Amino acid sequence: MRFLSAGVSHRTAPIELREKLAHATSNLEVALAQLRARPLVQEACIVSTCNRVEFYLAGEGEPAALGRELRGFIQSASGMRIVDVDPHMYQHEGIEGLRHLFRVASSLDSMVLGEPQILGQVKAAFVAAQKAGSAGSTLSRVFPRAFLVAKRVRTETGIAENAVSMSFAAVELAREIFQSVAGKSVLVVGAGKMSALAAKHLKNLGVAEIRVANRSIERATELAQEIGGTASSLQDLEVLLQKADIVISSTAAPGFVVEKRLMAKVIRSRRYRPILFVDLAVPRDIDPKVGELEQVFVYDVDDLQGVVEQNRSTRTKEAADAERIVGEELTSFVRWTRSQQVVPVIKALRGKAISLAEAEAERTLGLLKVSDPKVEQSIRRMAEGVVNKLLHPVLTTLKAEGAEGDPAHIVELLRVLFELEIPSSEEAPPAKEEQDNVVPIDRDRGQGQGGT
Amino acid sequence: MEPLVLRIAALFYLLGAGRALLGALRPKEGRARTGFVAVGLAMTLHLGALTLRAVELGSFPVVGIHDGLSGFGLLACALALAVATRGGVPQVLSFTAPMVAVLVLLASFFDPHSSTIQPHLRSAWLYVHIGLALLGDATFAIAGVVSIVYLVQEGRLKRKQLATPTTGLHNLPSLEVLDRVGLRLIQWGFPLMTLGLLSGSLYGREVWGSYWTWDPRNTVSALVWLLYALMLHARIMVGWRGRKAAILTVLGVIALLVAFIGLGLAGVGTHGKDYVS
Repeated sequence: MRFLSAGVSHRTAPIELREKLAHATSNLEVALAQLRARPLVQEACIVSTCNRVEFYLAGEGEPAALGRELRGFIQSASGMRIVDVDPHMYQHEGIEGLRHLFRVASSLDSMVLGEPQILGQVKAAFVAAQKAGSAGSTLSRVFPRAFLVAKRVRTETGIAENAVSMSFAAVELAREIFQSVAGKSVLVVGAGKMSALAAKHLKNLGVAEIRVANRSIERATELAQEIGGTASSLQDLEVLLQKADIVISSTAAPGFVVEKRLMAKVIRSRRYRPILFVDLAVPRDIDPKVGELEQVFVYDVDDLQGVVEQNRSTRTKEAADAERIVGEELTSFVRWTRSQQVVPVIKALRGKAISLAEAEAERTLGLLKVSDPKVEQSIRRMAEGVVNKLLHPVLTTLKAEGAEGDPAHIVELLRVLFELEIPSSEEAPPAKEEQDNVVPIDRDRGQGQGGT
Repeated sequence: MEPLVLRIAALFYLLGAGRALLGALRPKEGRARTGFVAVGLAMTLHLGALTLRAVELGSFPVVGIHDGLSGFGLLACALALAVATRGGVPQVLSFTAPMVAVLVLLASFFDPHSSTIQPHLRSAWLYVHIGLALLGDATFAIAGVVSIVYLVQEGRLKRKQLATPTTGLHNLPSLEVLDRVGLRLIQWGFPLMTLGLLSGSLYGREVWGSYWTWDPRNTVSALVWLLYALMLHARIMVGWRGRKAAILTVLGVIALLVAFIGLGLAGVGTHGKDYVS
């Protein structure tokens, strides 16, 4: 069984092409059935998001041949000529295909490094494949492993830490000043789109009240209704500022809406309760001098952008750690599948030997007409002992090859020499896959060592 | 024996502080926890040392610079532990532990036998006075540490050093928590300090026949008390908070340390050679 991952993503293909491909596979059930109808392809999973359309395939034959089948499918399903698609496609075979899956699930291949959605999307894709019956023994082993890797990456690196969007950054800032935003009072100045977004985000976190102040009271009422707040006029700004803990501002006013003199008065009447201004407007609404006042904290778009940028670059640094984890997991997974490969042979060999020994012991016992149970036991033990001693070095070598090297040739040799009947993984019913399925992902051997 | 135990305790305090600090700077599972464990071990050793002294003296070991520093250190660390685990300011422990390590180390170099109380000066009021004063001082010291953390966090936010995730500074508690914990500590420390002064005064009346003498330490203590009284008034009645309050708290702690350690070391006035032989 060979494994292949191929597709297009935001790194390789323009949005138009991704759209066409996504459209062609929009009915997953049909697409998966069509894929599986192609020769060689036995298992298939399609991960389709706004940033990527990817195919994970398992089947007989060389991965390159699987790739050709995939291209055939793409051409017939999307109506695009393959010469137009091919330059934008990537293809990873064997271990590298597995590495790609691990990286995608861990959000290492995402546009925003460490974003949390992709894992859910890959999971959903796998569930869809299971439902369509196109996730066989190989994919059922590989995907859950990818989810584990993603979880490890998430918990052991800082890749998913810190806000990388403005409204998240604003909330994080609020958390530096207030223990929690829950129960706080929010004032939205200006009914712009940005402030609406941030206000909604705060609302979800359980702020006590949201007041919207706008030059035009109609627009304020509209937004207030949308986010579940109350509308006020900008003329009451001074009173509103006295009550608010967090102020989000995004008016289209050409000058400052809140000046230092006004705020100095307000902060005194607030008895220096801290207040946070998040100024999302360009040009700015809040005079930067306001931030010089005690207990007043003012941040503008550039400050937030700075946070976002810095967090992004931190994530990039953390990504190196994440890649190391992916490499580790890849190595251990490959080692594990190889050792799994030898298990059925070991079972078959031992089973055959034991039954031979038992048969011979039985025959000898019949010939000698033994009645003493002690003698009978000794004969049985002898037969078993001979078999075990003979097999011991063979099994040791097999296990060692299974752990470190490529056991395929020894497995084949033993099968021929001892006339073993080894149940093939492909024929095994899914229910039995736990015990006798094999995933030899042994192309590109040695490349799975990355970083370890 | 006892000084040796103190020195080992100091070592564990430093170890704990180091681990806790490391855990705060580069968060990794277990680091902060081992820090807590090390400090816990240090405190156990420290308590053992104090018990040794108590057995030796047959009374509370609160007399003289050796026992004073040691007792103050243990109280301060216990408070820091409480604030770190229950108050939501874990950083307090990493700041306090090295301070306590220095105090304990300092204590271990003073001969515990250099000061003994003359029999006619022994009185229950003495132990009450010293106990309350030490507890009040320790509370203020931790309030000072919390205020320092507040100033660090406030400075960071004002200077807009917002995203410094790898330095651990972003893991500091919110200003709201720091301000509240600081205020609460002062609210506890002030009555303790007041009671300490009152009991000292009663003790003075009993052994010297006068409620108050203007010896240097009394004078500084009275000034510090006044400072804290004003500060509490400003915080609660006028609504002072944040940076100004934090700076005042730190200044108060410095004055307190001067009164406590500086004058104690100099050994002047009734708190010095007068009452010990």
